[in-house]
Amino acid sequence: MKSVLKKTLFGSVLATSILFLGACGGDGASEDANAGNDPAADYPSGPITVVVPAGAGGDTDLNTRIMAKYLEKELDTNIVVSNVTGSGGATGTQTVLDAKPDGQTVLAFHNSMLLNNVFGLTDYTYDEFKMAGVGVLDQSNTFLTSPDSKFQDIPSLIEYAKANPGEVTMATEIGSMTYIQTLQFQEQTGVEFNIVDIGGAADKIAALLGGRVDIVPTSLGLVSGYIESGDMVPLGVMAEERLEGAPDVPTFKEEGVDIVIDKIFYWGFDPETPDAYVEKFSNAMENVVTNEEYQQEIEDSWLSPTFLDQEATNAKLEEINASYQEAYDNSEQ
Amino acid sequence: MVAKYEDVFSGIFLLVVSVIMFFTAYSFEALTTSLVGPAFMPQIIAIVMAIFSVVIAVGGFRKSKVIPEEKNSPEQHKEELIVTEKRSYKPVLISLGLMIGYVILLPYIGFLIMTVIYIFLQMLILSHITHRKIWLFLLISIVTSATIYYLFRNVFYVMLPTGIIG
Amino acid sequence: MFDMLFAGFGSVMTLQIIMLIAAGVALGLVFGSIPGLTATMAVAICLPITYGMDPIAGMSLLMGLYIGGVSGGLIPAILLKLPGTPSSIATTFDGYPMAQNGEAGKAFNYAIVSSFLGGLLSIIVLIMIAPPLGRVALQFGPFEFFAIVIFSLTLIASLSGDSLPKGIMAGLLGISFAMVGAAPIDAFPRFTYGFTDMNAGFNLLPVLIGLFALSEIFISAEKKVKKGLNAKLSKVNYKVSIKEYIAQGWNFLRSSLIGLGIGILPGIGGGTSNIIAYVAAKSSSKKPEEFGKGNPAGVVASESSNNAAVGGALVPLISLGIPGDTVTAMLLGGLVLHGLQPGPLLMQNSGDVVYGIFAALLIANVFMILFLFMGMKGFIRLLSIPQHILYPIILALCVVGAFGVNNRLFDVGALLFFGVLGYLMIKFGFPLTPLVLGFILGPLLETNLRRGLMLSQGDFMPFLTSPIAAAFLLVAAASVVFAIYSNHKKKKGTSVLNV
Repeated sequence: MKSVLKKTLFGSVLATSILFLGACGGDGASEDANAGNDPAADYPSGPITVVVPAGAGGDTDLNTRIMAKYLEKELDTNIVVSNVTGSGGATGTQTVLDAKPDGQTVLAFHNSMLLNNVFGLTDYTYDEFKMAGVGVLDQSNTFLTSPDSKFQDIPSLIEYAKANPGEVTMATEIGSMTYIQTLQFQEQTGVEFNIVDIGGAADKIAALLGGRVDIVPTSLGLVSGYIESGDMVPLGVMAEERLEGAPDVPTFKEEGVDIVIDKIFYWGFDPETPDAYVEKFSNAMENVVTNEEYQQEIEDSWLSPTFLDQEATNAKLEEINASYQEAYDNSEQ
Repeated sequence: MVAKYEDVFSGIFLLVVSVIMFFTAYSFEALTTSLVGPAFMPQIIAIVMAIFSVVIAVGGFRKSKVIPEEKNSPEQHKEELIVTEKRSYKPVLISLGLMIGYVILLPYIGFLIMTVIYIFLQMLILSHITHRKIWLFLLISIVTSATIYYLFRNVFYVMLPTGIIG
Repeated sequence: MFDMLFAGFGSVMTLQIIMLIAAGVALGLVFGSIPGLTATMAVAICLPITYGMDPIAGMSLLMGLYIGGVSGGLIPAILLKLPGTPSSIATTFDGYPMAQNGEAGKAFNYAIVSSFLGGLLSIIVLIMIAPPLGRVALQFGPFEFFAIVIFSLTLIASLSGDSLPKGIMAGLLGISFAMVGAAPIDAFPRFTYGFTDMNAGFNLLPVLIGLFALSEIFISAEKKVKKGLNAKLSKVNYKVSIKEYIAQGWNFLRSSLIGLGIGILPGIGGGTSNIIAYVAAKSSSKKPEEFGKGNPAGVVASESSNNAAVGGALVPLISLGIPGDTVTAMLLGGLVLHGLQPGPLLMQNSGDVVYGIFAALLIANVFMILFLFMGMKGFIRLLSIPQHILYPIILALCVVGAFGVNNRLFDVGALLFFGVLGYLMIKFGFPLTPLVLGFILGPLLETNLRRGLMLSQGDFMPFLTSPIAAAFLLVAAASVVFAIYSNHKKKKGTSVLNV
């Protein structure tokens, strides 16, 4: 019995240290917010739950947690990240729509929500949410190949794929961003890949290293280690301009393929949520993005810390959605 | 008697399930055009299930003729040493009802109150009449519920439903 | 290498980090030992806390949680026949009968020592030869995984107990339940009958604890028990002689290697390794009929393999940046958040952290065996708590665990459903373990079949021409033939396993 006690003791030591850490995060700010008849003065009224419709440890989860860490100070409350996985993110997004619209539950997600709608898996999309804004852009979407493949850049890939239709194996996850990128690439260049489903980012990496596929589309930041070690070769990035972190990697545009894809990580509320709450949250996000520490953390993983407000977020989502819809419609014909 | 024909019943029931499964799978649509779509595996499994459910039912029917009743459920005759009352299905059904009520009311009343109520009542159901120490049960149910609730909500941030007290 | 390891020990030998490891192991043991709470949950809960620490401290805490979480499952498995985690399902087969025979102490001794040694062996392998092993794991694609899954499913034959058809049926039911929700690849919602809540499907945890823990509560409601769980337990037999340990040497080695191998392959995980090791121990034993009745070899096989899977799962993570299960996926996130680049260069670029992790693993393993031995007498005394007090509390914790999976009440409802199903299955004489095995392996079977066919553009031949796949399919075929033969031979024979 004594050692059971000992165990509980260890547990409570940990517990107290956790509590202590939590308490440390919460000082500062707050006083100035209460001045005057601020309609959002009572917000937040408790810990805010952030629903991430992706597993713990992935890029969606990490970006959200970094933002949440800084938001805690801005909003002077606890922010609890809760991973709700399942059916390509639809389970998590639905959870937010089902929650009380009191601003205490917020969604943090990316382009996949649009795709679920485009592919007919959900009957709602981004406009169902009241957007607070965007804090991170991932402009490092890339195609990777192995160092011993027959093509080491975009033009030679197109040439090879045209000469051998259906031969080049493209690793995607059906219905995800990488899938629609592949459709767009085929549409633009007139090539035909053998599109296979391989799974998430880690499965794709394993498949390329194991020599089972020819091309893996993913984010550069996730694979910088493999590029440095020479196990993988990037063919290009789908951005307007070359990345600061990878100046040697050309853009698809430079290589004559007009594909620019931004993966945007946005935060959205249930549509019934009071505007003042969303606005307050949005302002807090803006403050975080101007924080240099935050910028450094985001740039470390080759992403760009960019703030988009409610309007800009909606415009951006609309633009992305239109391009996805077009790619999907074209592929259906 | 259920015990005598248990395999026949379960076999027939599973046969019905597999038939439903097989036909439900016809409505599955594929996002991609490929040989093996989302309906392939369910239908294969449903067919195999149907075969084995027939095997189980037929086997059970034969067994019910050959073997006297006692041997049908080998599991039931162990561990009887410490049983002091006759087995009865009533407390099982009451427990199930209690659990269903617990789960349904959880989001409305909240985890803390519902868990106190559940643990207390479940202890009453499970305990032998000579062992019902009402005050002890009440104390245990309050202390454990409060500990679990506090620990998970405030330390581990598992957002258990607050219900009416939130 | 040894100077690196020495430096690794140097970097974790601070009071703060040692305390973190100890706290991690203790908390992991608590989570692992409570049915419904798992190592995955412990790591998920503590991951954000580590973000504020320096990398070595943070990773050390997580390693402690991982080792503790996997090991804690043996406690309820032996005492209550409840697998605390999927990794300790097979521990219940012989551990619980041992406890019922008054040998709970002995079962603990065997289980704790094999956990420690299995973990140790796999950590040593991880430190010595992670990179080449990781490269081997890369050779396993959809064809090979499909074959391994087929092979693993044939184990159901050995887990079927009295009736082979019922065992197979339970396995098929497991595969069917795993199909509910979004289909692999297409994401088309199957068998949801219009309920969007079901789109995400069933999670393993509610299935497991529903089947094993809730069904026990229903069973106990049938027959009211007057005394504690078992009066015989008061005289507890503790001693295991060195000779008895040595007799398990080969079994231990085989089981650890199985655990290690399964751990290395991304996606199969500790939930299956303990069952495979158990079946291997049983079928290579001269007296397979003693298994399921309290044979220590069963406990050794299960517990050495599940701890060996820990080191195994870390092999592809450390050497290639590829996570093998849900826990290592979170560890990967932890590494990234600390600014480390997982991948082939991790060891080269961040050797200090990697060897710090190795040192933390070795220390955590020692804490694990210490805590478990210190707590052993206390755990056994838990048995004197009457069932009618223990079980309601366990159910409340199961509810918390099921809710914590995804913060959804749907999973709590699923828990109830599988509790009723488990109870009915026991009543109608169906074994439970094949259902869990089918549930874990079904999605892997389907996904890899479909992915394989996409890769080969519809050709089935690569499933047979890949040497690894062909070998596993051959073994699978052989074991089916063997199962039918032996089932036929001892048709009137007694049950080997009552699960």
